[in-house]
Amino acid sequence: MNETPLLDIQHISYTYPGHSLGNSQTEPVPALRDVSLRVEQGEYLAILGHNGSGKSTLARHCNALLLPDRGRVLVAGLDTGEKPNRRRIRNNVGMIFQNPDNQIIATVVEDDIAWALTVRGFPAALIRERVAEAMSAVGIGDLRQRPPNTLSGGQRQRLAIAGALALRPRCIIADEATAQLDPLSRQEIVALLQQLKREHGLTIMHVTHLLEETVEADRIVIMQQGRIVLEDTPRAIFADLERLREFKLIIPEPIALAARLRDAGFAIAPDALTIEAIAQEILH
Amino acid sequence: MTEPLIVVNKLCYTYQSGAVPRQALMDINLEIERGSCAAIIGVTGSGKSTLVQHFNGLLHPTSGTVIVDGLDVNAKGADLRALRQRVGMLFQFPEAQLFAHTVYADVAFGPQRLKLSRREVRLRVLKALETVGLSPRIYAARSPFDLSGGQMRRVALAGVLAMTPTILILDEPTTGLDAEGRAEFYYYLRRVQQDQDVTIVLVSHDMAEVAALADQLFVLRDGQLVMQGTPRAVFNQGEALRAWGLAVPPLSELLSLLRRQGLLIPADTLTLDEAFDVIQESCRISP
Repeated sequence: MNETPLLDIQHISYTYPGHSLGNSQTEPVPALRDVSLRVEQGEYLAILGHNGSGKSTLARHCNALLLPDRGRVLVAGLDTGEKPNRRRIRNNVGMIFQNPDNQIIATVVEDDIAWALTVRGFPAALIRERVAEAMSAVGIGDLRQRPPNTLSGGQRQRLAIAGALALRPRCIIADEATAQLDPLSRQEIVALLQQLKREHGLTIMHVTHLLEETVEADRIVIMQQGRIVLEDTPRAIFADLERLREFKLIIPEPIALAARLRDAGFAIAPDALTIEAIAQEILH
Repeated sequence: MTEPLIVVNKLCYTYQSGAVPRQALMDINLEIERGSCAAIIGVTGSGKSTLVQHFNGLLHPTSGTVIVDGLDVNAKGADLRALRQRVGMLFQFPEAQLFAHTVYADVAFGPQRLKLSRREVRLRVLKALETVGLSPRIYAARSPFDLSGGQMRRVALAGVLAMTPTILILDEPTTGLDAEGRAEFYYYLRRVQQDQDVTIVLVSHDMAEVAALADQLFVLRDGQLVMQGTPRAVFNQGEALRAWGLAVPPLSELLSLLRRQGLLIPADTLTLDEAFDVIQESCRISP
């Protein structure tokens, strides 16, 4: 049992510097205020919040894309503030963003996955093995010769995940990776992240503004105005729907229905949060 | 019975650019009533955007006809300029089209080009900003680039409304907004729908999102119109929709699961209140 958490965020604060845009000068924006968080190896963590809550800023501190003004971030014990650590940190923590096109480079799927390995000078045989492994993990093996621009949004996001997996990271951070997808592709990407955790023991940090994407997480962290305002298991978080409404989060209708039926005397377990689980509870 | 505002008859469209011509729309027939809200639903690449780009003459049918407010958009000498003044279009990520130093100047840009009096322009801008919930007193002089993503999008919507369109076409208007931004956008869009005599055409891949607004849904798949009807009627076809890569609202999915397990739930149950009532009723009958 490894005692060092995979991510250890200690009292970090971060302010985006102001910048000039046309005639107007923007003010510096405090984005994180004294945030602390530990994430264990193999944990599925959902970070939930509105635009501007600081959730993406927090995610970007976890692979040294941003460095804290105050406090420190340790990734598997390595401080992101120390430059010699950064290569290892970025090998350990892969990031996926809202728009997969921003990280797709090559003209054919398999070359794109191989890219990060190629620039790191891996031998060709190993690259082939890693690329095949990454493609099968995300289920795009049949698309290996396709140009990325012919793929659907969901397939492109899978490709971005495969590119990150090829480096065999210990953690994947999905920063609003589902925000531009249609609802079914969204569900498929969430299921894929769950599967990577289950089958490969990966740590997942899933940043989202949708409550329904968090119901199967091990832990949910809710952020507001640069602070963590709530942190608990889905079961505990969904036990108080009023509080979630106060955070202006939209309660998934099946969960709202389950709560109303429970209040009306139906015996519905509080940890029934998926559609299947709620249906089972209603039927019994 | 008044004439429908938009009549599409045997519309086919083929993209000629690219190495191989690609047939994007095949034999589309549909009518959109004046004053209604229609939603065009489909996955990426199903032809939704191609279809609505015919409604203001941005694209011309390869064959078939599109008649908008009595005007055949493909007819020789059709006045497309006049058509485009009646058809307001909000594209995806409209905030990318904001450009002026102030919210006021941005919204005023279109009306100013109509050679209206300054007073008329001012009236239109103020009204449009009020409609989208951006009080002119607070927002008119601000830079649109200092606003939140949701507010920027509402500025873009105000810019279209200031042109007083008869038809408002919105192509995936909430993509990339967070839950609060989406809810706000639809709240103000509903206000537009109620206050103004405007026909709305919404393009979306998310049926759950448009259910509350739309009178009619048109489902496109691979360039064909595969289903149409009220949200109630369409959501009832959950199996087929899922097979086409479209998600039904989660509540409809739960209800159809319960129905398959033998619970008595009427097929047209749509809202949370209705669901609560029928489940209570159904469980009382068969405990």
